[in-house]
Amino acid sequence: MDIEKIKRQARQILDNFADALASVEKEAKEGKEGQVERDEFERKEGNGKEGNAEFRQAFLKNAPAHDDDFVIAERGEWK
Amino acid sequence: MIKQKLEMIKSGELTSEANIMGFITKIRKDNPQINAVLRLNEKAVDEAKEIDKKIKKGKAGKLAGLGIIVKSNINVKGVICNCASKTLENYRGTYDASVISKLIAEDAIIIGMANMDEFACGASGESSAFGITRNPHAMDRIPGGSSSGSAASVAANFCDFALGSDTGGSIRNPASHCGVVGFKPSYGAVSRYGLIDLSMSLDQIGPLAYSVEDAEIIYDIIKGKDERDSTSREFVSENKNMKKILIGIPRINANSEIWGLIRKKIKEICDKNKWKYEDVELKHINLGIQTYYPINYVEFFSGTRKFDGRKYGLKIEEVCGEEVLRRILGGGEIAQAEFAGKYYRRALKAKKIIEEEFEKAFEKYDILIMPTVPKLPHRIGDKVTFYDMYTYDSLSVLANLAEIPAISVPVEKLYEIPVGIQIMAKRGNDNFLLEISKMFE
Repeated sequence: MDIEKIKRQARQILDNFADALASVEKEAKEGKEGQVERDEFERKEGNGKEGNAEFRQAFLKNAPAHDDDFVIAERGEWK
Repeated sequence: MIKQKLEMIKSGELTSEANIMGFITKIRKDNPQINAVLRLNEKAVDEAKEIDKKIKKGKAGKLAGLGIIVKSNINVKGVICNCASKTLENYRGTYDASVISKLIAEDAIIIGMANMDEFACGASGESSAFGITRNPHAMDRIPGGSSSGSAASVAANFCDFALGSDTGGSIRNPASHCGVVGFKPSYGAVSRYGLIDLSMSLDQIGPLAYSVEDAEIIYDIIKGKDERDSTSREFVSENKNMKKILIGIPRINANSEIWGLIRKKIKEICDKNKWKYEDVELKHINLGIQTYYPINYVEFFSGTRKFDGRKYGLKIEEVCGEEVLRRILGGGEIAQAEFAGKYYRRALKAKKIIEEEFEKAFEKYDILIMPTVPKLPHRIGDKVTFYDMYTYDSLSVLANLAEIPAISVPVEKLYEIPVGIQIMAKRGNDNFLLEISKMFE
């Protein structure tokens, strides 16, 4: 895949879309965008969830590298 | 169909085991050509036998013995949920999504996991890492997407119903192309806990089914507030006078033959019920995809940071397909602080405006109707640019942006290809929408 080409395509289409929305922006009421309507703002925590050995086993099984207790991930260097 | 099937199972005329075995046999026979199902649940028949025992004791749930196909981005414990991507090729769900827990609690049985566009980034069913899905009604054409396998599974009689997810039309689009019913609930009506997200402010899980009544039965089970999804809510649908309905038909671009079928259906139903209809102008309705895609790109970029090859799977950028990579690279670009105002914030403002326009329209109109998709599905193998692919969404993204419920119901066929009518209602009026949509079958 031509990564630079894909990146350029993405940027171009997003620029086109942003230009199309430029006039609409002026009609918007400031500060209302991105708000999510909710009935309540705090979650009912209950007693929390206890550790589950079955879940732990399944979770570790999905990991590319693990020992009995931990997922092993390369530290420091971001790939 | 679900009601009749449940009666047969309850009466003993059909066992759960026979029901599930029947579907598995059909899948084994026809799926190699259609490629709607990626994985079968190895335990499905054993689970069905257990349900039969419960039925004999009179202790079975409301969906006892019914078989479901689940889109591969919805977590099912112990089953491969790979989002049709090499990234998660061997990932097994470590828990059940809330919708799955609810369906299993009612003794439905997971038959298998559906094919889809990779990470739900698509509208054709062509971008899966595990092969294209075909349209059972027109095998040389796309089934639509991204819930391609879910819609094709229902159309091919692989299940009693299917689950899909809809971010910009991904339930309704393939429902339209495959000639089945597809319902996207109001944003927040169904918990997203356990859904591997595409765009968290737009995603919703919903049913694909043979009839509106079937979709309603499933919706009533999966809906409701969930402590594990803070955006989920209880909605109470308005009681409307079904004798006095006013339908709005937004002026929006679509294939003229498809519009012809839609208008013909509206006239037929309104004449029969003595309802009224009229055209309506929604000023910014043609800015749907321009508003949708920047939001989609940024939220998808954010949602995919966890696929770094450490906890599970592979690093997404190293193995994904072109469209997924496009959204990650584009989303990553415009998510940078210096661009926030120009792209994402601007799109969020436009979203708010579209939302308010629909709210205002629903002050006058009980429902709004338009085609589900602006054009017929293309032939598999046709060269289609990614921008042309985006335009498939132009009519369906509006309901996601406005956070309203929307359904696709099959009308007629055009050149032997199914066409869907899209019906939308005010946010929270999901049950009203389902009720009125039955009139359009």
